[in-house]
Amino acid sequence: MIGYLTAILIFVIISALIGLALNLQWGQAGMVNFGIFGFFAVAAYVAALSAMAGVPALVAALLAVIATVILSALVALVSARLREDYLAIATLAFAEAVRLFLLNETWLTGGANGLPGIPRPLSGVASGLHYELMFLGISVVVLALCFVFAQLLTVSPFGRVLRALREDDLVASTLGKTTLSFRVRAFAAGGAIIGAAGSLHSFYFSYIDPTQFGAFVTAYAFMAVIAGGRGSNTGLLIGAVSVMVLLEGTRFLKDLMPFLDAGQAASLRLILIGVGLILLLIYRPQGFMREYRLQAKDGDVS
Amino acid sequence: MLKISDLTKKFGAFQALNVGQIDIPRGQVTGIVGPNGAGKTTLFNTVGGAFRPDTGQVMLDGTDITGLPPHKLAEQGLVRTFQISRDLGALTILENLLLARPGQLGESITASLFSRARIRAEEENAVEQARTLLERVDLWRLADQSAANLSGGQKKLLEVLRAMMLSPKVILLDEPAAGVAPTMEGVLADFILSLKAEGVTFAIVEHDMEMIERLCDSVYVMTEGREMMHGSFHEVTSDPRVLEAYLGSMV
Ligand SMILES: Nc1ncnc2c1ncn2[C@@H]1O[C@H](COP(=O)(O)OP(=O)(O)OP(=O)(O)O)[C@@H](O)[C@H]1O
Ligand SMILES: [Mg+2]
Repeated sequence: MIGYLTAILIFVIISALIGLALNLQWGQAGMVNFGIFGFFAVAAYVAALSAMAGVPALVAALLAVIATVILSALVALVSARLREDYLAIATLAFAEAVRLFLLNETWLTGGANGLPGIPRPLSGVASGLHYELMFLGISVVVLALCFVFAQLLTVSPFGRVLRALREDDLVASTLGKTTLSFRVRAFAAGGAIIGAAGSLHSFYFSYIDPTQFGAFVTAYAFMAVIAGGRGSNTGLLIGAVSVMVLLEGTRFLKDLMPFLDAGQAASLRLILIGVGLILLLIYRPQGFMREYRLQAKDGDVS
Repeated sequence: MLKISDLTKKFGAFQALNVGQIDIPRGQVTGIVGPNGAGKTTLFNTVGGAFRPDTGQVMLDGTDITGLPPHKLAEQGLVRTFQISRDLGALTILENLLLARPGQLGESITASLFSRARIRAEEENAVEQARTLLERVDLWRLADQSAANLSGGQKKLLEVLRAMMLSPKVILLDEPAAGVAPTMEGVLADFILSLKAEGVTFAIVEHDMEMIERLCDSVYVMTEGREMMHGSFHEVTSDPRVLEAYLGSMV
């Protein structure tokens, strides 16, 4: 049971990281990233391949972060002149290109068979359940660092410009803001967090293949951001947990209702997830938390 | 201060703008009037960087600023407001002003992470600047509220205040009195005149003739994309051609 809980928590942390990234890119800066699972895959593969080549885990993770930062900046730069809806398509196209690359460049990625035997960091230190708990500890630290990173950007003048861009980029540029530079940097900052998420994923599962990086990753991230309240990092954490409770909790349906066969249980699960989301959108359309706003009049500036 | 020469802009085959010479002199308020569709907003869009002109030249204080994007124009000291208020509703009123402050260290990612103390000091200065402006028009009491909650007139004021955070040389105001309650119109006009007294140069597009009479040192009349005449408010309003242009646009 503790083993199961640990696995679930690590899984929640990885989705929360992806959600944090999307909350920066789309939640705050208004840049739709449907291809988030492609960036996630790149990070996972870079971390895995580096670690398998003998690079220390921390360095492998750093390489993954650098790769996603650069690719995110490039995608944002290339689609800069396009309208918002085209960014959605450009990011999807990027993710599809990544998927095809992973499937076809077998010499590097193992194709559909994936990459087995990714060395886990600090595996000599502990084993079994102790190792799982230690990995959970590492994941919590990574999440905390990324949360502080995102939150510092949110409350700074940088975050203020992002929210302004999302609302009305002509106003932002009329007031002297270089919209392109902010968009590229916001996308890259989100990319950095995805880099961390992908590394954790590879190290935890120690086996990756292309099916782990499907569009559902993007869907969960959007669900978490919307449920949490677009733009709020704290809300995102609550949102990511809620989405996971909904997804995992409904897994036990079959135990509760033994008269259902597997197919019926799976369908009922999807229905319940849908109902949960609809209820949320009816009763809390703005999400759990409101995004950051400076309250300076009667108190401290930050 | 601002000199516009031979500026043209076509939308497809439609010649929306074809201006010969418009001068906005330093320290004055210059009115731009004309019937609906005369090209006044197009003039501001083309000067203000939202559109690139097809031909022509715009000089600001001796510098060629033709076709520069809006953020470059802001650096040069030219800011415009919009005919339909574009408040940033996700930001508070105070944040709307803070946003506009140029040269903020906190707009850098690394500084946001590692130079928090300096950013806080900068923000305190920015808040002071914003507070001084907001207090002048009695909006400081609403500083922490969403800008979406403001009345039409307050939104127009907010746009002017936001522009003032950039300490601009010239502000282009597109219909500052449209959708503004009469009492607020007075507040707005007084505020514009007090900024003028401080040396800010204005160009104002406006249909409200009382506002134009009260504010403007001279007035251009535009019809069908070109400037038709230029003179004092009384010269312009007593000219039969102007009357005809307005009536002509109604039939
Ligand atoms: N982006 C655009 N694309 C095509 N046509 C446009 C565009 N913007 C303006 N026009 C046209 O150019 C002409 C001038 O419009 P403009 O908005 O400049 O008029 P205006 O003088 O500001 O009028 P109003 O007093 O009603 O605001 C109009 O015929 C309008 O339809
Ligand atoms: Mg107009």
